[in-house]
Amino acid sequence: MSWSRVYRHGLAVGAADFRDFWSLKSWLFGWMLRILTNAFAWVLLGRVLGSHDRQSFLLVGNAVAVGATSALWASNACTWARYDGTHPLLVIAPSGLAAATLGRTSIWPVNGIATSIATFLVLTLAFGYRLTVHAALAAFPLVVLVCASTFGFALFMGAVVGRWTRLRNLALDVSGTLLMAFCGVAVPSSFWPAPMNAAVQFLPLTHGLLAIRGVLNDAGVGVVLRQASLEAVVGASWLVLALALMQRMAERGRADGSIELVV
Amino acid sequence: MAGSAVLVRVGRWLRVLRGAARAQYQLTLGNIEDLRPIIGMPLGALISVGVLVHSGRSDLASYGLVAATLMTIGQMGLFVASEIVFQERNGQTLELLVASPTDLGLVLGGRVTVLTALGLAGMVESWLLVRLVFGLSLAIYHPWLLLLTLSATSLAAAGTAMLTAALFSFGRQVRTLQNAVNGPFYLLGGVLVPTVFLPSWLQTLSPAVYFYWSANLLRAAFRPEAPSTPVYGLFMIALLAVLAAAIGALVLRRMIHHLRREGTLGLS
Amino acid sequence: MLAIETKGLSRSYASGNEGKSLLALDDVSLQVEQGEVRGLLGPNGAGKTTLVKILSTVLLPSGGRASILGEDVVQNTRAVRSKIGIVFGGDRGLYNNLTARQNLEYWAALYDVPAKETKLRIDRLLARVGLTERASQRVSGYSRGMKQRLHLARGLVAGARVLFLDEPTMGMDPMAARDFRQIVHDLRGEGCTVLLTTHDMREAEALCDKVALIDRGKLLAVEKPAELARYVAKYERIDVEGASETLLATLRTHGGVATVNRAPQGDGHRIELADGAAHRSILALLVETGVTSITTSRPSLEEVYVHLIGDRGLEV
Repeated sequence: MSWSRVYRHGLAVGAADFRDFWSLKSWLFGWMLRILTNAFAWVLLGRVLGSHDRQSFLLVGNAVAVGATSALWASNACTWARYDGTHPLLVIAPSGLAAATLGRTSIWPVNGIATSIATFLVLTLAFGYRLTVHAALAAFPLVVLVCASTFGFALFMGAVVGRWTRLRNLALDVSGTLLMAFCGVAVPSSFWPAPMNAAVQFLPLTHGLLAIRGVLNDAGVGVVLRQASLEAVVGASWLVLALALMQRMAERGRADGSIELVV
Repeated sequence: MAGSAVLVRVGRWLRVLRGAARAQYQLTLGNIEDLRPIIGMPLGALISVGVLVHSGRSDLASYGLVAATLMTIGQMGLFVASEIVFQERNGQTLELLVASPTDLGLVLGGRVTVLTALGLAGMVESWLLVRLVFGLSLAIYHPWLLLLTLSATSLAAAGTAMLTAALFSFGRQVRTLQNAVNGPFYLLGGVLVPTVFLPSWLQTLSPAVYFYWSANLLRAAFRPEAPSTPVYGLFMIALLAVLAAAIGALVLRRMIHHLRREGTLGLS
Repeated sequence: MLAIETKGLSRSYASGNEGKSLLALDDVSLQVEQGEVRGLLGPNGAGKTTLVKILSTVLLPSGGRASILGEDVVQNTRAVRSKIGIVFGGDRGLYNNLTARQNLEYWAALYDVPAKETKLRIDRLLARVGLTERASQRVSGYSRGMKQRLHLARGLVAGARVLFLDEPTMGMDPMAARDFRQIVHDLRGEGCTVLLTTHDMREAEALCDKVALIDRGKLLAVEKPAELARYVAKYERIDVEGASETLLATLRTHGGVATVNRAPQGDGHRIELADGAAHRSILALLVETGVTSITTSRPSLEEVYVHLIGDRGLEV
């Protein structure tokens, strides 16, 4: 069984899902318009506070966070097989759930990367944020890393809400807001009480955002690499947990009869 | 004679409104999807108030509260209420509604009003969240202004939802339109950041958005000094509500006629 | 006054990118008396649902006229809507997150059923369709048969004088379908006019005073079910057992015989007549040649349908 072949076919399904949501026109004038106007509002809050530093902090945080929150859509996409009626077919297929689900949901971190880059570009132009080519090139792979690690977390969430699919959208909303609140997007994570700050060290975005801020503020390579490595470990850990949970949920579904043949 | 005929008709309208509102309330309570904005949007206060408190500007914490409240009402209107007609088409109940002798505009009006009114819970939740997380008890200096503004805003959101529900009934464009309108609406309305911080050419558009008047009045309700021209602000919210509802009812009528002509009232 | 009347009714749709139009209804003229149960039979895509949609004011016609109890469906839409009820088949058309009672209360409000009467009327309807025990349960938990009965109750909540049933027993199990038909039978006794679209021949035969056959947008025939069978009297058949090969060969060349084939069941043969008048002479021939096991029958409505519309199978 070729894992990569199954993944590729899953990716094709995911691309079709994406086209069902967005055309280029609707992505630009619907999705990006919403993202940008929200991001503008947050950055303007820095202007209300009369602080250029606050404004820059909010700009970078929001430009990266929109990528992460877009990647979170993968959690929702995990549940769509139940609505298609393909979930039981994937469970019993020799290749199992994992490769096909990974493939199908991979389009969303890609959307996250595109969203984040576009937001960065527009915001830096609109607010006159100074971004060197060197910094931009160094930040790009870190943006990819943040979206990838959030993808792992999203898959874990998707596996959890797979049993309670009615909660999928709510879970997406709440997790997105909480990531933005606590993971250093609008305020440093150290602003929050110590237990909360400790907890978010195990969430995606926290370390990746610090790495990106480090690159943009000329922090040392060591600092950047450390944070980037932590982000990679966090993301990979969530991915492993997600795959294990997916399998476990499938087995439990077989045992308790929650896998529906007729949608 | 004419007077009693009017009374009978008004009585009929009220019965339809009540029946529609009650059904929507029952539908919403049983559907967590409809309750998403009420649960999720107030959490946004954590972010906005967090920024303000972190910057030593707790005095501006009401900005975050007002933003979370208005976005909750706004999302109930733009995302939940605006999908009613589309959902009815999808569920093949739109044909049944059209085939009934009642006015579809009335039915829609009753249903969207309930949804935007439920959005008012956003104020309570946000206030409690700010109290719990930041220890800030935001004093309401002008409670009547707050109540009237919230009520008017809820009605304005309902009126706007009449229009957006009609426009969104085609389905394919729903998501694009919702997203295209959503962000600009809040930005132009100064929901989080007062419009004085927007470029001047954008500021000229703001008064056409009911959020502009609502946000200013609600922020004023949390300031000790007497608000300036509250009556005018409330009047503008009400005017925008009525205008949106009237245009919405007209668009809905045209839309239904179009769908009847094309044979696509149902989606199957 | 006729309950339903159409004159030259037509409806076309634009079809695809080629600029052609699809004629879903073509010059349909129909008359249904008050208190009648009229069946509308036809294959998928014949135009049955299009006709129902126009009559129930959900769709505008392209040409011709239609009226319900004297009210034009285009000019006097509101008056028509206050007199009719529609019942679909299938899972849609109900609010799944509401209970049966809540669904009916909603529609009662929309049809301006006086508040004082609403509860009593709903109780009676629920009892009539056998849903009293489950009235407070959400519709999402109902079986197909229960949903269909609720559909019917919804269609009756305003005391409709003309009821449109569009494939109402689609997907129902035989027992549920039988119960449903009994309710419709009772409605006829109350003077309600019913226009019923169906694929189910037994249902049409059991329920309908008259049946209209429709195909490719055209009305082919309108008759009582028994009369319709006489249309194709030439397809009368005689089933025999013990006929010799010689006799069978003779019959195949007989002018009044259409076909001679193996009987669908048993060891005998089925002789299909090409001419009803040949019935007597063929029977005489059979008796003369010593055949004693002889059964004659008329075609069922299903066989009429297949012969008139053609054995199109899955083809639309």
